[in-house]
Amino acid sequence: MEVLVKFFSYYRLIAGREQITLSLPENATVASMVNELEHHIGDLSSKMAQTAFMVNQKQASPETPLKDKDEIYLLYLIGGG
Amino acid sequence: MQGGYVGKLLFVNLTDGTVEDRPLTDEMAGNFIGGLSLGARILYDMVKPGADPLGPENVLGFVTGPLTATGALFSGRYMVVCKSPVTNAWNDANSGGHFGPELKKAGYDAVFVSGAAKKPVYIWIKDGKAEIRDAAKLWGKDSTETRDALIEETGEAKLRAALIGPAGENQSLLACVMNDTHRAAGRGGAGAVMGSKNLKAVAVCGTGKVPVANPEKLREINMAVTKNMKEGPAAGFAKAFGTFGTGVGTGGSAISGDSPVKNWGGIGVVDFDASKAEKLNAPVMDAKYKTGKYACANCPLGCGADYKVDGGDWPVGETYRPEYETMSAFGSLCLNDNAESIIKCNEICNRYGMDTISVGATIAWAIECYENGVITKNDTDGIELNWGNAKSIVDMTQAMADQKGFGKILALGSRKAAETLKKGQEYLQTVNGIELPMHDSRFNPGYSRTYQMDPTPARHVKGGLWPMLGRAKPEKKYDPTGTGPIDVALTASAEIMNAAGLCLFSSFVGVSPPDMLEAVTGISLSKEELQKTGLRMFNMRHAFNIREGQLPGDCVLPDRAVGATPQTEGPLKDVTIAHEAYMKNWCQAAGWDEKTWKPSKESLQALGGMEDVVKDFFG
Repeated sequence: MEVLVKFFSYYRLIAGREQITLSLPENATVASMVNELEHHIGDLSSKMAQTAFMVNQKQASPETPLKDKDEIYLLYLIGGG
Repeated sequence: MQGGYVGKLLFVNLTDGTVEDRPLTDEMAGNFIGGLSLGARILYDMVKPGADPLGPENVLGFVTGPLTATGALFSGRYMVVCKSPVTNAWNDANSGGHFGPELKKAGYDAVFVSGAAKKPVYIWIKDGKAEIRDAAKLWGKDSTETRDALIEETGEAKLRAALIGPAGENQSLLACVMNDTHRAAGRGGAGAVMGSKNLKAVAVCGTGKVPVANPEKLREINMAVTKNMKEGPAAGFAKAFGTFGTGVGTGGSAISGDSPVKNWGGIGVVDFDASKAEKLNAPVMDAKYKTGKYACANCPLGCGADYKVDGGDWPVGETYRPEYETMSAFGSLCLNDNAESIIKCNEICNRYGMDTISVGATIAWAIECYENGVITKNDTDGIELNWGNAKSIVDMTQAMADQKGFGKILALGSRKAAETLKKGQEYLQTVNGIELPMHDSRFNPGYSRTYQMDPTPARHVKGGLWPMLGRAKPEKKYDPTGTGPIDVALTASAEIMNAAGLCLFSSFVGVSPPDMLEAVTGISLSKEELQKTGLRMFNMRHAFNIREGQLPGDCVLPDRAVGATPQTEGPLKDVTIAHEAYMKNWCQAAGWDEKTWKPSKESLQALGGMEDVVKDFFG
């Protein structure tokens, strides 16, 4: 399946673009999307503690399952600021 | 005490002009550590219930923590404490910069100011000697001009000052205590209290050293923290935050639902989408305006930045990068995507000494009133207060600073403005008169209990569940089952961190407040003792409110903040948070009566150090 990943704020700087289309296997999740994304924009593990996800404009987590044509938002959030 | 304290408190009475040193006792330091809770302990004794917050009977305190000026990393904070003229109850407000450490080097753990001077004065403290000086020449100056004038008058280029701008002099309820020209003890109207005392500044300069019980251990802790930031799990955060500060994710916060939008009535992906929100990110703004980096005392992160704006509609010149809260309050909350207008509003607030959160939120409230015909051009002196109208937002901020026309009404804050106008109450987003900060409790329900129940309502930096829930799984995030014990534990640990003098962001890079406290003070506390101490401090602050007849149940959250009517689109669609359950859980875990909102006699007795409070409440 193919999903569209949109980058916001700090992630837009890291990725150097506003969005990217990824090909993922069936049964992919947000977590496996992140693994695939690292092949394109580098290691993300150190950023996960501040990362929030949305899938089709709904709140999501690493365990959220994905389907074809899903739109995923990658957001860098800091509480207490 | 082995280390961490100077051991001396300064009491200044501006009515009779007396200046008195008193010792900080081991018992008081041990029970209440410092900062907000040490302040609460002392003000409970000094400020009688029913006292006018803007009268001479109120007491204004500037209180450091035991880590301040010891070299402990992230220890640049200090607290301003008083009775709030907004809530008529307890107030503490926290600021960074360099004032706190300088106060301690000048010889005092804290300064408490009572009474009121007949004419403008400032307090000058140098190396253990304090005096009251005439401030006639300072009155009317803004925060930067005042700092510069103090340096010129004293000849001390390295002095630091906590001071008020014209907003404080005019007793605006949104007035801050400022230091280092752009650091603010912002919330609750402490600047108005300072103005009511005719106190322009507390200027400090010193060469003293604060004893550290175990310098080698402190050095090891500092090195471990630094290593974690450079090459450990905190490296990613440190790089992002140290470069771009609190605004690193502002645009995404509006999209995610973390930032409130359109006076808490809007939806980011609908009303303030990426084409607008992304303009307000620090990475975008830094590329245009950043000229340097700023760090508070002993901070290895340095989340501040110097900006310069030479052109455009608001060429403010050299200034500072607005923080996330400021960007959001003047940005998504007002549907304003003009970054330079927000830099200008930030500069006005810094210069005049106003709380950027409450000023932005009050303008957002006024815009909603205007858009719905509740107020008109006749009320606003001709300013068209439409959503996203950057010029009007700047003009209204300036009018609030100058206290001219409608600006004078808004300078009271949104609740008092609504009371004065006798309209607009339905659009207020306040808790006991304090404008809600810029983290939406519908996105992170942990904030709801904190916003309602902390002795200082509507604060985003106080303890609670929120650090756990911001990125929690959606299916778990809104379930309040069993939250009480961890919520209480997080509340207590935040009290310890704040009282110690640490920055909130120390917790993001693995700083352990108990370890640092042990290294500096020489006192080792078990996990149970730490929680007991933290809860004692929380209850002490609350005791001030309870004696004033104010309880958490009186601090009602606005309907929008809890999703009473859920949003119909976006990431917060159908979200209604179980805020009453979070409150009930906390009360049960802390030994509070969930119906009266008061601590039980037994829970207070178990905490110790508050025997007079137990007697006051239970006879």
